[in-house]
Amino acid sequence: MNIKLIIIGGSAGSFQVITRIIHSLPNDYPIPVVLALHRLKHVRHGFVEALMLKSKMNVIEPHDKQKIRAGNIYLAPANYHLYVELAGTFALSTEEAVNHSRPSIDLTFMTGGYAYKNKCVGIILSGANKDGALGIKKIKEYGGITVVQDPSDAQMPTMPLAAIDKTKNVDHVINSDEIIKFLYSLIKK
Amino acid sequence: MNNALSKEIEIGISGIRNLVEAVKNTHGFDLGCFAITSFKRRVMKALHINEISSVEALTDMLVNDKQFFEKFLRDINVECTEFFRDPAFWRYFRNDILPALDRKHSQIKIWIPGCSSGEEVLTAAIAIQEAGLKDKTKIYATDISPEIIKELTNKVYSNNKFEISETNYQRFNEEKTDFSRYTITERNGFRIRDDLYENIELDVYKYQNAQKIKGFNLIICRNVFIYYTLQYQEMLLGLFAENLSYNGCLAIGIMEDISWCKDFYKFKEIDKNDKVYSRV
Repeated sequence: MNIKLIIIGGSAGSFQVITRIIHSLPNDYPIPVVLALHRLKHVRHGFVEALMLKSKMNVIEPHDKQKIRAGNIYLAPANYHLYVELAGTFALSTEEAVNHSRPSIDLTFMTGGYAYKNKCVGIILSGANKDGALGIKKIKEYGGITVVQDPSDAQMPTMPLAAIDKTKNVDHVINSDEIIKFLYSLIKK
Repeated sequence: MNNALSKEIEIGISGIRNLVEAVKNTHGFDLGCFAITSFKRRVMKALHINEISSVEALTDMLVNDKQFFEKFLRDINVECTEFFRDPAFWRYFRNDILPALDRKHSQIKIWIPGCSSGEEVLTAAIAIQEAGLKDKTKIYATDISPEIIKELTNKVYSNNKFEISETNYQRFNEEKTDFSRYTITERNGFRIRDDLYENIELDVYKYQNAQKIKGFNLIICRNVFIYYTLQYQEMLLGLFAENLSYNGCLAIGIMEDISWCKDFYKFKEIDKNDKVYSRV
């Protein structure tokens, strides 16, 4: 299958699922994971540390033009958009908020899908808005694999429902346990 | 917005390359200095603003019309979204950087390159006035776009910037006073009081054909590096190293990284969280 990048988008109600997912991944999980999550823009510190407590992998907020490497979970920094560039690096931007959001889940998904094509997985989790719907649709169009948390499993089903509706043919609509299994299935020989 | 977003990534790399090449040949300006992903978005924005349907048509217009090219530099500008962005940085500016500059110099010279819509410049001006250092401080604010510099002399900010700026200012000022004391209400937004512009000099400055300007005691260049390629970031840092006086400070954006640049040895980190460096 040869997946090279996993992008997870989440908003309200996604924190618990995120922590369960990253807690379940081994420290040598060979695919880099990018988290595009809506977060308080003025709270600079604490979020990475909170995720770090749950994670065996290294959790970092990437600085501008940082190289994407396996073994890391990258969290989109507060008040910046996080782009994935063709060179396999991140780029940050303070361009205007999209759908009232910065980081915008759409932008990270769209740029990641464009850069990694069929080597990209996009996962949309719980949220009370529609950010990410366009982004995951783009990942599908670029040949990537699309996963959406089952709306009945999500604390806030708006975001999963919007993603399913926009993309039409999402590859997997599954609950959080199955998302974890799915992530393991990506690394089976 | 969503509609524009759904189209924007579709511009091909080759179209962008041709545009960059053509502009370089006609106007001698290398747009290739911009980081590609955000540059593509901004080209898309320029297409949208000017109601042009393709990158090829845009390229033709840029090549044939110098004035349109100047306008394009304005269209692709990334606006700042708020005053007192990162209040913690501005507190550090007020509590540490300014007092140190005040002790060491009779005149304080500050350069704010890539000043864009001016929020960083005016934020600095407010903090400097509050510190009582206005008379001995000169702020030199520059941008690559002449149109932007022209607009800045009497800039009206949209009301949706007010709320976040007010919140930031309260965090900066520990709720002592309101941001509104510095603003004047306009029909379509707000302006910053005229007296805050008094020690600001606005100028067009194109790095690419720049000579050294003058010895600065402080350069504030936050969230500007992110819009450039690594190669260009390295050039910029070299330029800043040349233009800072001994012990002069450089402040960059909190998520920017210059530690890999060849001229980094000319700097010493003085604040890790707020990314402030001193010229050694």
